[in-house]
Amino acid sequence: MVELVTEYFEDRLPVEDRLRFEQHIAVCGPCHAYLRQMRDTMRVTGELREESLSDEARDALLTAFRAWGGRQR
Amino acid sequence: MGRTAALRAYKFLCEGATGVLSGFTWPVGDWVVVEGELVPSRRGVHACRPRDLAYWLDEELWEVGLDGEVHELDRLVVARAGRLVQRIDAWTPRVAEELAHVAVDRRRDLPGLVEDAELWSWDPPSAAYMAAHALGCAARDQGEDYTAAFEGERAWQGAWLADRLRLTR
Repeated sequence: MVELVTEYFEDRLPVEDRLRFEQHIAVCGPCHAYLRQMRDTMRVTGELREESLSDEARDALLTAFRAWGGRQR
Repeated sequence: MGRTAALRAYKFLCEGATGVLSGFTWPVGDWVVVEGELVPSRRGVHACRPRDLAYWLDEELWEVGLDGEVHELDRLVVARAGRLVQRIDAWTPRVAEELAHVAVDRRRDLPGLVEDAELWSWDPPSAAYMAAHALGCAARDQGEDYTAAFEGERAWQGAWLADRLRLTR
């Protein structure tokens, strides 16, 4: 299902499969909720800008990324 | 082939008049016009006729006006332009539950149907689908056509909803 949702959002499914997918979403509560959550996540993350971060949040993220990079080396 | 006409149809949406598939939040009353070739599920204003209602259940039901090129397909309508006319306030969680029970009770003799509905906590879209699916399976077991039985039951559910909600085409 996760792969199908990704392919659906990226418009990589043929029309027949898209229609079958959409009809499944309409009758399956868990899949309906998952799709909705993915849409909400995409919308919210799409609205994030560097300037929308507080200084504290930016510093915390940079610290985390630097530590992550250091572990990978 | 499409045709040019103005007609009334219906549209199920999530809370806030938002399409779960498109993510598009509909403005109430304003026409939304789509450019380019109309392609089902990809491009166009998607709506349903009363007989299609059971396929697309969601939180909110709206009456929509369609205009311009309109393609009537098996389970939906795709149009060049559409607008939300009014919300159907009669569509409530209580009516949705009612549909679930009516749909299953009508076919309760089919093996496993009531148990499946209980397993899914009588979730209305699931229960209505399972009733039609069970009927289709029973038809197939008797050498008949699954799709005809399934679609016939979905059409019955749509007609029941249209009557219950006093919808007209």
